[in-house]
Amino acid sequence: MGDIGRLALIFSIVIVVYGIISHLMAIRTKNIRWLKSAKTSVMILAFLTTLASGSLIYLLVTGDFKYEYVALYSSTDMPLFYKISAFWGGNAGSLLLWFWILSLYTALVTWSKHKDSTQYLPWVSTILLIINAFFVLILNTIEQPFALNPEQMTEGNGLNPLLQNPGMAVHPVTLYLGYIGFAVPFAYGMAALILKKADAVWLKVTRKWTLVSWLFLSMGILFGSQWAYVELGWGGYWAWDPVENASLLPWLTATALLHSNMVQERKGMLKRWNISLATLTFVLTLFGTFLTRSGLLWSVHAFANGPIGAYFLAFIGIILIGSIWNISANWSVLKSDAQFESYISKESSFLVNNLLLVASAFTVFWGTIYPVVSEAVTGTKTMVGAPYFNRVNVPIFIAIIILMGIGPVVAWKRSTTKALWKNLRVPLIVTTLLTLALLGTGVKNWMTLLSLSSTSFVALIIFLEFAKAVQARVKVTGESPLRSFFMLFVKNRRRYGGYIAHFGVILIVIGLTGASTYSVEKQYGLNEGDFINLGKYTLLYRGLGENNSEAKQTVYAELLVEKDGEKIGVVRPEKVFYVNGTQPTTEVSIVSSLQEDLYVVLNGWSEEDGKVFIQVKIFPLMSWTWLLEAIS
Amino acid sequence: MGKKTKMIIALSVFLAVIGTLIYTSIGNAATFYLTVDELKDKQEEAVGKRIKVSGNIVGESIKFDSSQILLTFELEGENGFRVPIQYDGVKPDTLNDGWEAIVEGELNSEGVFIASELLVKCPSKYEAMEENGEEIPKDHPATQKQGGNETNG
Repeated sequence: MGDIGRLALIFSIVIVVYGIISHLMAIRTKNIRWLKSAKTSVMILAFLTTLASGSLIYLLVTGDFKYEYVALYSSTDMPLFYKISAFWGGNAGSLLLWFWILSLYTALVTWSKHKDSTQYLPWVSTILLIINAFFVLILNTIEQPFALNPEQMTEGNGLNPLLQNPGMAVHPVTLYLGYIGFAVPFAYGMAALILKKADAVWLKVTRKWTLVSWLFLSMGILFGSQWAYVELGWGGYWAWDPVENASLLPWLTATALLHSNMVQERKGMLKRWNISLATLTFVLTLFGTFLTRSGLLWSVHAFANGPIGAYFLAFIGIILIGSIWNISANWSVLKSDAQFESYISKESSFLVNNLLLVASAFTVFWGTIYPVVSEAVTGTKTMVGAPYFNRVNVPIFIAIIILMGIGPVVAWKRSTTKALWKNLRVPLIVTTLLTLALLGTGVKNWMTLLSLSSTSFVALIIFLEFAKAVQARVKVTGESPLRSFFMLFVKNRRRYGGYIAHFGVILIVIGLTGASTYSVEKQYGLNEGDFINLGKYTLLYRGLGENNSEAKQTVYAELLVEKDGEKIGVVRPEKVFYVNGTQPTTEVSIVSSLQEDLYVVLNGWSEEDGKVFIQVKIFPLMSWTWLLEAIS
Repeated sequence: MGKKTKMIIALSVFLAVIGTLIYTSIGNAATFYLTVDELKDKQEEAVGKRIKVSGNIVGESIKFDSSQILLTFELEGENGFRVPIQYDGVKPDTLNDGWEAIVEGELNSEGVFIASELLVKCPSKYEAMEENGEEIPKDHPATQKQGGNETNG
């Protein structure tokens, strides 16, 4: 089976090269037979990568420790689900997953049909195949998933228990499905330039790709931070560490692209900006993979992880040089069809939104690479932690949120202040009252205040927009309000879908604001029968218990929880010890309500005096953030 | 003033604001990142600054006072220099002899490092095997790289 996978990867080299050559020949000779052959080769490539991935999964499931990758990331006692998810537990497997998804996307695109597709597709496929070529090269040289194990082993290492969590198993896949999708708008944009087509066809065709990729990426980021919250036991969900930032960067630029491409579709403006954004987003997905896979920023002294980082950097360089050259050579083709007519218009609100998003991306990027830059310039490695990212990005994000409220009610081309005032009057007055009320209840931190007021402002506007639209529809069609509400999405999916997405962002921001400003955290050393009083909660510690199975030993502390004097249940935060000697893991107990999360961690116990160490945290509004996942 | 000039002015103001934001925030949030050995050379200037220090945990020095929930231990550099660490919190499961840890905090005037954050880097399994005296082939990739699933555990 492993031989099949290895051969499939080797044969993929031939196919990718042939695919590129035959596409170029098809473009040159306009010969339909070349084109047919080129399209078939893409299909064969997708088949080969599926074969390779299938055989790696087969090896993992059957526990064939002849293969090094299987021995490194799986073991016989793992549940089937995690044996499969070990596929992306390490570098070689992750890259194979990248390649697999990319080749499937390439096949989807190559065999699609749309306006001008006969001109576009040969070029688009060529560019996508060039990206495929990079992964084929890496998988056959420095990261071979089918490398044989140099020693005889009857049992593998197993997968890090921390990664054995359903959320963590799907997080990389959703992230990749999102990441790789951005290769498609990039390839289309480049093809449009090569063909000197300045219209918005490439954007219309790729809008779905951008949108779906953006959704996957958003889900992936959410899954990841929720995993950190429930699994890592430090009560965090976002630490601004390099790997997290790596996924946030393309998300920010893709969000910008989703807005700015509407301006080009409608008005033929921002062409240069859009093509640059599509390129930037794609390059940032490569950069993100590079950061996560090379370990560049993890260790004190960088580049400990072999040549993979260098390969990635070289490829990113090639892509950057190629696209910058392509964009600048066709700079005049991308002239705008129209000028900005008024400062108060949808176009300019989109432009400002883009500037803010890209500025935010830049500050995150700068903070992430700062250690490398500072070491190169001054010789000492200086890092910037969460305070930097928060201080810079919180103001930017509040500005984005305020704009989120105003943007949708501004008209295209030009809007009068009068019309704007009419639309914003009610929300502004209500928001002002709400802000005063918040001040009255003792909210002092002005960033928190701003964040809560601006989010309510947007929520109000969204609500009013829906209410107005439903009212209007009911009047005209005589449908029931519920049906009208549903029909809004059918009739104008982009507008109302956008509102829903905005609403989701609002929920997240409310959750994070509450959790970051008002969280309480305390450590306790307890003997049996001791009480903890924290906020509205009383916790009674009743002792340690133990559950043992073949693979692990679980120790838990049992605490009775009362809220406002009423019993609400028992929490059992755990520590799990594994027989195979991997480090113990901490299982958090969370009591969730819309108002707040009570977060209880068992930190340890002392053999001498029988005390247990419990950490209790309260995160107000935290569940609002995860609520979104439940909805989606 | 033409529209273009206005645009350029607006954009410049915007960039200046963002630039200022970055500049002021970096100055306040930067932490120097040193190894224990580098800290030895820079002990004078490091006092009172926020720094991150990485080194190897010295197993025999670990003491945990459960009544105060206070952890003290030492980190050792490559050349044998040791720094005493005081951490106001519970001992993590992974605090093992010879493992690499990264602490963040300040060095006080007595040369004790008061840590507010403690992160133990989990070495890959092969390093654990080595500690148990098992043989790993020298050319094995695992001796050069960690498995792709490091966590900040």
